[in-house]
Amino acid sequence: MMKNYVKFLSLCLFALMSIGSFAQKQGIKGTVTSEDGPLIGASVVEKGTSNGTITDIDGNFQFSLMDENNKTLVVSFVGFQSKEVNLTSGQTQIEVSLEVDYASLEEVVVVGYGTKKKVNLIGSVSQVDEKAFKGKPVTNSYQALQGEAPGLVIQQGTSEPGSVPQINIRGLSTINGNTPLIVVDGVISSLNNVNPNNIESVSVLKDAASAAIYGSRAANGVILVTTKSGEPGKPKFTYSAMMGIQQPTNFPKAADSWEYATLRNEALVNSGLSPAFTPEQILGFKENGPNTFHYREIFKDQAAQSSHNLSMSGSENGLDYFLSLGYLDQNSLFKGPDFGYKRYNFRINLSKEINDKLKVSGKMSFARNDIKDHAWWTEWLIEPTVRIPTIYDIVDENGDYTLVSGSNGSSLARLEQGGSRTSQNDEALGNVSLEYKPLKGLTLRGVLGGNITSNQTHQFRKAIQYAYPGGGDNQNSVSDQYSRSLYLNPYVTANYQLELFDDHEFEVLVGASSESYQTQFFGVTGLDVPGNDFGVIGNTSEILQSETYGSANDWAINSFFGRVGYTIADKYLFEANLRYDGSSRFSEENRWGTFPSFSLGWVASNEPFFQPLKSVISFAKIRASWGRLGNQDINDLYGYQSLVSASPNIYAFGNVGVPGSFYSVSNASRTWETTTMKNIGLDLSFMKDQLNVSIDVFDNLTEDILLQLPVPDVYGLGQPFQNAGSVRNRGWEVALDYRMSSGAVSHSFNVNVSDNLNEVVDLKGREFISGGDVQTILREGYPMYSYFALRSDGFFNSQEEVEGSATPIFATSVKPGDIKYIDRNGDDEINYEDDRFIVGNPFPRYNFGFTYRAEWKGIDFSLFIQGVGKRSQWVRGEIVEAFHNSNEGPVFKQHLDRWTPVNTDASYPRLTIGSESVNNAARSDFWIQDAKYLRIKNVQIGYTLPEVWTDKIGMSNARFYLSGFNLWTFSPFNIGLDPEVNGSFNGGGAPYSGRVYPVSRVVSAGLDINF
Amino acid sequence: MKRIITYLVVIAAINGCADLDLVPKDAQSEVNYWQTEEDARIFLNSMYADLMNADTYLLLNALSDDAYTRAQEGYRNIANGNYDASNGVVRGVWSGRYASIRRSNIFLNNISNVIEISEENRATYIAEARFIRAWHYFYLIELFGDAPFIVDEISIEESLEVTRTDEAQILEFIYEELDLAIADLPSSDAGDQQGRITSGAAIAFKSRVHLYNGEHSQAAALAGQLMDEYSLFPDYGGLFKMPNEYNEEVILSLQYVPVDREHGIQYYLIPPSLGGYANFSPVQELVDSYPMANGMAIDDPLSGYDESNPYQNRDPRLSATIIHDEYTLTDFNGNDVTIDTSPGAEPNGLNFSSNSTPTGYYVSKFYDQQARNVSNSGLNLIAIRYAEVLLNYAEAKIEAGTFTSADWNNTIRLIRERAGLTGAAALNYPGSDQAALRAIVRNERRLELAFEAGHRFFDIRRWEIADEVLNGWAHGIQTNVSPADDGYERVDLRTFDAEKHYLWPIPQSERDINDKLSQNPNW
Repeated sequence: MMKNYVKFLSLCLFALMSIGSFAQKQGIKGTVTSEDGPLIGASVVEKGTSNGTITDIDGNFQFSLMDENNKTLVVSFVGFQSKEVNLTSGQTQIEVSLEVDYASLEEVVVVGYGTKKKVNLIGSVSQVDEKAFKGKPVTNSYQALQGEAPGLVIQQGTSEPGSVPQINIRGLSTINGNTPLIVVDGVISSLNNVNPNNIESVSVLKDAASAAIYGSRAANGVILVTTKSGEPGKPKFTYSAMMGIQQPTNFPKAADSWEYATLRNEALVNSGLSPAFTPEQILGFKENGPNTFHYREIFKDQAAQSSHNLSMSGSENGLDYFLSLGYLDQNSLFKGPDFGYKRYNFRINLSKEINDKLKVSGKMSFARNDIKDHAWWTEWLIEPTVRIPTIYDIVDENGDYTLVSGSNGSSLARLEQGGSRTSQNDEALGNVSLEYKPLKGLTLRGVLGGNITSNQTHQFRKAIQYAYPGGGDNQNSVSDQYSRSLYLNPYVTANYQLELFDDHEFEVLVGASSESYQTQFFGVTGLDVPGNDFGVIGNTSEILQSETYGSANDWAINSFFGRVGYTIADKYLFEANLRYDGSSRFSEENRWGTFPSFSLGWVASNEPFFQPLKSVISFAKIRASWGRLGNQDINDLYGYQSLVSASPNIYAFGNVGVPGSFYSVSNASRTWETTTMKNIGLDLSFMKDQLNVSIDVFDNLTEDILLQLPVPDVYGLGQPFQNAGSVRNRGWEVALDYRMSSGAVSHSFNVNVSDNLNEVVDLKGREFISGGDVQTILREGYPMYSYFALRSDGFFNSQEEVEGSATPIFATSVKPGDIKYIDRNGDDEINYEDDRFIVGNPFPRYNFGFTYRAEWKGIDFSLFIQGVGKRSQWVRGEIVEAFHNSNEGPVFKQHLDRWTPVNTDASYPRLTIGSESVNNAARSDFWIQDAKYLRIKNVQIGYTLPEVWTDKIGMSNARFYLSGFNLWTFSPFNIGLDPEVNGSFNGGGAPYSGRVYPVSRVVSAGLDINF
Repeated sequence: MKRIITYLVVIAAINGCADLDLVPKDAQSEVNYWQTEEDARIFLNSMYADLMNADTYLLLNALSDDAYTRAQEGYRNIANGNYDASNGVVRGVWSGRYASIRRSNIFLNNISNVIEISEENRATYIAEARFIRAWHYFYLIELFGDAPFIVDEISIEESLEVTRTDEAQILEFIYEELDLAIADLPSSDAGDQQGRITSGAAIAFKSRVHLYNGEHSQAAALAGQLMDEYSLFPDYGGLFKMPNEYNEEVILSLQYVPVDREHGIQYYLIPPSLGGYANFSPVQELVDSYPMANGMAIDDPLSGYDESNPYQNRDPRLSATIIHDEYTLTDFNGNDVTIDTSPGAEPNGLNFSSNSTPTGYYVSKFYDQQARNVSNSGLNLIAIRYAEVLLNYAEAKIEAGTFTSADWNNTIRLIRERAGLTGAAALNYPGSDQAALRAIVRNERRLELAFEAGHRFFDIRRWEIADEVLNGWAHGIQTNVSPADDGYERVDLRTFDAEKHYLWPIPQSERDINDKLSQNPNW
């Protein structure tokens, strides 16, 4: 593998170096103009080569032709249509006039149940094209979308093979099902298994006007994905390959063994206990280490990743086809036997125009995920490795795994010898549609779409015999789990388009849709396979009842919808939507919801009075929309009914297990949560569309929000979903793109920035605090799940200061060097009841993305930067706390700067163990970290071979590139976790302690060939 | 072609609408429940599981002067006084008991609707449910004092405004319910019903409640009712082992079965060489409270105690309860192994690693040598046994001033003989001095019931001696590393504030959403 990779790199380098090494012959000169005069900086190139030049200040150019027989020049300039001019024999002088390229205005955007000209769009829609997916070594399509569209927030704090990022649009309007609705080729679906190489475009629908047609499902926005189809002409083949190396990017910095021992002694003495290490031992550590950081030791330094894609497409005689095969292979960074993720994708898109009126099309894709993972839980493999001090070896001098510091198993042994968990997950996705145009302007469509998933997991957790006493992995087990699901989404629409007068366009759409989903699942676990090999369930000695299960569930939605659009002279735009939805998640009385929306747009630049401005502002549009959307996507499918469920082995009598039954928590009156969205947008283009700016401001009010509000424990039944109150989400988005040329180089810049923040508007006068180690509050006037904690105020520096200050009632020993807290109510004591403050929230703010692309004679370069401008993360546990919870470890480098009488200007309090730690371990903002970041997400350098070469070997296009992904991250969040870690800002404040597979940097080389 | 399309549209329209009245495949609506005896029986089974979980059974003892838990932070912080109303254990007990009370209320509200059941069984089931609900309220008032008193299926709205009821009123309720239960419960749980609540269990429990509340004559009378009904199992150590799970001393035990329903407490108890983690460690103060086998306390100059050989000739219950240095036991593979707990000894020595004991002691009492692995055991845990009834009787009579030498011979002497103590100092009636007898019965209770169901934790609170025994350092073995405390290893500095710690605080989470709920004094 490595050898191939090196070979491939050399080939790329060779290709890059061989540019421009050809002799020049016949000369040609001339002038390039537009209707406004000479064009400066236009590119003139000999067709099929990279030989050419750039026009000067007067639009003049002059250069020598490489190939006497080549009679064609290509003249191009950003914002103008390119032109090919044929030279007559012996011609040495030429005048070329370029025309403004209005193509960008003719651009079509995919919208709900149809398409729309970009100029006529009123909703807030961001379009992402296939460039976003090129050359990025992503393992799923979501990752490629990160930072590409304003308001689309994607976060993934781990690169564990098979993991999927968190995704949401315009922040949190709800707590439930924050994932936007994803529609692939018209059918509601997911992006997990869509081959990034097959995507032609992605539309992100963000406001009510654009999303309302999806009514009940659209409160979190909609992502419409269109896969590729054939282009007119003969069959075109595309092959692309990428091979890369993944490296882990983030680990905490563990203290060296001697530093650990020194700090351990200090902590013990500070806590009134005896030191554990003698000076001789510490000296020994200083000289001989071992400085073994077990967390680091369970990961490899690098792992390979590769992908291959092959497709064929074309369109002839009304038959449009696209076929594709894809393969992705991501090796795991975990040590152990070839863990990793493989995905096989297959897609076939076909459509046939049977006659002028009838078109039939079918799309079908299949994806197989093969995941081979360790047979444990990643979190619990990592947790002990973080806690183990660096004084212990992970394997001893005999090569035996050690059992140290609170562990009865070795994570490394579990990885290397503990068996594996293999999953085969299949997803088949498809749709068949019929489009019939009985009259001019009328289109009837019927679509049957859906997907089937089938997931199978086999786990053989092998027994491990440790050379050390006390190993707890002496029993092997086998688990088989299976689940399948069927999702069906049939819908019919009728669309009528009419031109009333010369320039009045009228559109009506009506439709009906239904969705139904069923899933079945079962699993069985058995113990004790004799011999510790041949781990199949049939070889186990005993079936574990408590891990044998199986059931099924389902949900369904019926919907009716309509849209009316009216456009006058491409200037005045109007649209209205209405959707009526019924959901199985609500009782019959509360089942149906109605969701209307309206939008208006004005293209000012098409007004006569605007014409004088057009040389500066080439396009101007103002958009405004209002609409109401619904949400019912709660995971508690049947919770409007009180249910009684039985489980086996809840208790026992006479040494025989007996079943028990339990009531579920329920709420009969729960109903739709609705979001009222208001959006104002402005689209401006300058300098003949060289610069485009789009600005949106929105205000979303979610009412009857479905929350699992905390209920008193005395209620005794847990937390049902309740329509709790209202939450407002306000924000803005700016997207800007700019194209220009300098010399022979063409540049494009794209910047997008967005921000939003939610605020609890109404909770019926109540407030709700939840969480354990990390506490959050729902309080009117503040963001949802704001952090609620004591506020720290530096460290105590003297005994007098301790005595003169309020200290926590729950801490019996507070000493100099401990964290000081603010006594909010001034009662001379610190307690949670009176002294908690709202100290921030977990929501990422100021999400930004920046892309720069440049091209020069076949060489292309792109730089993609992405980040979050404001974010705080409340982290607890061993990843931040020295000697967390009285454990032996860990100690990290940042703890070296702990408070001591001679280092009072410290960043960490005095070191303690056990009850002495209670004061500092209190829930306070001391543990809340700044997690903003800027990441060089992707850098690519590519080279497209000149056509004269590729033609000779029968290719139409060939590009080689080098790509770096997740290259560098800059963040004050430096505890060894990725700043995107912990997507739990939609949760109820679960304590967060890292324990994840790190984020990978991927450096890869790739190749795209068309023939 | 048009016809085909018309057909397709019609088919789509007919099949297009999905059924929205969906019901789960794995649960039934409450409306259809409470029809058959089985409905009632299996619902009652889940209430049994609420009695007490294995972790609580063990770790409550770490809140006393008997033991220390290193890694159970919530418990550790209560033991050393570093806690407040947001402590997770405090909340866990509160929420667990109220969830269980709701289940009891659901059961008692609905059992009358069940048609297919004999009146006899219905009465028994109701009696079991009353016992269980009274059991939960007993723990609530012991820990929190006044408590929300809920005997119905309340709504969320009601739960947000609930207030606390006077402890005495709840106590009255407990007595009434137990009387009703005693009347309807069977006296035996023979055969496949082993583990069910019997009238004996209810009587013994009611005796305990009376004793806790200083009602000595009632406590003694109830205990007396059982004096001929049960007997002590001859072997103290064997009492807690798998082969003797349903012996004649057991009155009520928490039921566990290998594989099907297991607990993992021995992971906390046994030495690392057997796979244990030492998360519950006996402290020196408990070890020192065991007398010599001759019945004399170790600080008695005549006892024969040798500080350099501290485990020799001790009350045999010491080694039936605690694993100390040079202790020999049979490991899971059937091999006899000797445990070295001396400082730094690998792997079992004091503080050798995070797995090893911080005190120099491990626990032998619940060691299940037949468990399939260190964290899965099917050993029953005894909640009420006859020795406790005898001790209840003795204590009640001593406190009432009516304790006789016959009472001695019927209670403490029997317990000590069974334990293997010999000699006059151990077995003979020591005379009627109340203070001396009180000291004897209290220490006897501590040793006999050590690590069982939190007895010591409740005892030091009801005796109001927690502020004496839970202030200052808890110790481990003598290491002489530091001259302080006679060279005994300091383990945990404990603080007990008599002004507030005798009652737990009402959980912060509960008061955060219900401002009508008052707090206990000084919290």
